[in-house]
Amino acid sequence: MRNKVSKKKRLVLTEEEVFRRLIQGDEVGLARALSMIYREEATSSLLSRIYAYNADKKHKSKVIGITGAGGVGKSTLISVLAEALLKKGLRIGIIAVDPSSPKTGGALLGDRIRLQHLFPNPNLFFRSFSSRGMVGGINPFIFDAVAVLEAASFDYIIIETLGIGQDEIDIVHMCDLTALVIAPGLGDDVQFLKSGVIELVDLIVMNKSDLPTASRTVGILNSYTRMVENHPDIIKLSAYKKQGIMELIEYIDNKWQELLDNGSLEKRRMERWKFQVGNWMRYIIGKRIHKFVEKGEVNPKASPYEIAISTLKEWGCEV
Amino acid sequence: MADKVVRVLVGKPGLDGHDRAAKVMARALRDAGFEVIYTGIRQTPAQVAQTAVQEDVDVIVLNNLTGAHLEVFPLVVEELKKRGRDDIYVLATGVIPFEDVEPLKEKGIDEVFGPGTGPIHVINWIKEHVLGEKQGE
Ligand SMILES: Nc1nc2c(ncn2[C@@H]2O[C@H](COP(=O)(O)OP(=O)(O)OP(=O)(O)O)[C@@H](O)[C@H]2O)c(=O)[nH]1
Ligand SMILES: [Mg+2]
Repeated sequence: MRNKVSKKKRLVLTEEEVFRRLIQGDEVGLARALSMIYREEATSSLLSRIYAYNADKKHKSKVIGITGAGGVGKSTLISVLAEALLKKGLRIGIIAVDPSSPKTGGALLGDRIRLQHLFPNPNLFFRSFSSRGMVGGINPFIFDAVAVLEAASFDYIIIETLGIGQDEIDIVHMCDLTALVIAPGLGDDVQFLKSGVIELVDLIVMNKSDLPTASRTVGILNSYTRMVENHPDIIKLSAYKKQGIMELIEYIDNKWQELLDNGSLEKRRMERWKFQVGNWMRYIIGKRIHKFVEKGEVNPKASPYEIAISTLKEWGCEV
Repeated sequence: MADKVVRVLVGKPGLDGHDRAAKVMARALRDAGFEVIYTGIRQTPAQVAQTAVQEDVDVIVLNNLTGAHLEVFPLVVEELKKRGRDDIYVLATGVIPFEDVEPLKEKGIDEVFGPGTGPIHVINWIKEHVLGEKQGE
């Protein structure tokens, strides 16, 4: 079984080809653009072209974020949502982000399972990403991945992230509209009320409303809405039974149009752009700091604060 | 760059309803530091191929226990060709008799891991061929 395999000639695309194929919606080019960005192989010129192209073009994708705790049904919801949108003849691009192992860097990306039955389909694109162990920060690649999907002119771009810690807030910056998915019976129905996310999302989707325990969660939600004046809208549905999906699409479309008409969308996208500048700065400086700390000498007599300040000054940062 | 991430698709084409072996494989590959895309059971060759294209994987690890590998696995290679991505490595795992190895290889399967082999052999193969290639770039 150890006979030699002839070395394969692997597909290599120039940035020029990647860009050209990407904007034509070609899957190979699109997939490669995402890989290049993710592997930090893309030079800034590819990204510059993508952003310039997106800024000039008329077609705007609806960028929808879906977040929530593990197992609430985000992937299932996205699959029924995608199915309904495909039936309308629309093109859907989906990104799902799963955590990677901090130890090995490996990741098991399984969000596709829930919608594999919709393939093969030329109008449906799905890409799984690992969060690549970005701790305490945002993965700038995911933001740029959204820009790549925008360049491919999908009608809807849907992003699934696991809502824990910082990430759940980050997704709000990435999307035109963000929904927090909750489900009954996971023991964290109170937890989500306490978290700050709830004030940041546009919409709460209460999934699994087919379950008998759903009424309890509805009760909790109602007591919450009575307490908070400007609470996000709430939609109850069952992804599993495909109930309430059309209402969700109608909600998203109307809300998106409203944001477009009143100028909020433009504002949100400006904020997103600014946020991404910050993401990149944090990422680049973070890497440099990491290197410095790893290699740095220890001097217990010195104050760590002082070392930090003097090093940053050395790097030319105003502090 | 530092990120020599190897992406692997673990696919189960055909009507085989058993996913234990594929799941064990997927987990072992993850523990080896690869990014593993797992699609679940009963995938058509076209589904496996489109997934591989979209996820831009380096390797597809196919698993089928029903004995349909001689028909089904080459169809995956065909579907990859149609999409211009037959440069992706395709490995066959499962209950594959020795006499099927050559016919599979003739039809574009890069390596066969039959009875007596385990995830570790697949991992080593990937490390040698894909990781070695990437580091040599
Ligand atoms: N009863 C019921 N079960 C559902 C519903 N939606 C999803 N589920 C089930 O909930 C489980 C988790 O679904 P997923 O879609 O994988 O959930 P997820 O939020 O994407 O999970 P992670 O990606 O692991 O965080 C599965 O067993 C689904 O079948 C629903 O509306 N009703
Ligand atoms: Mg999921």
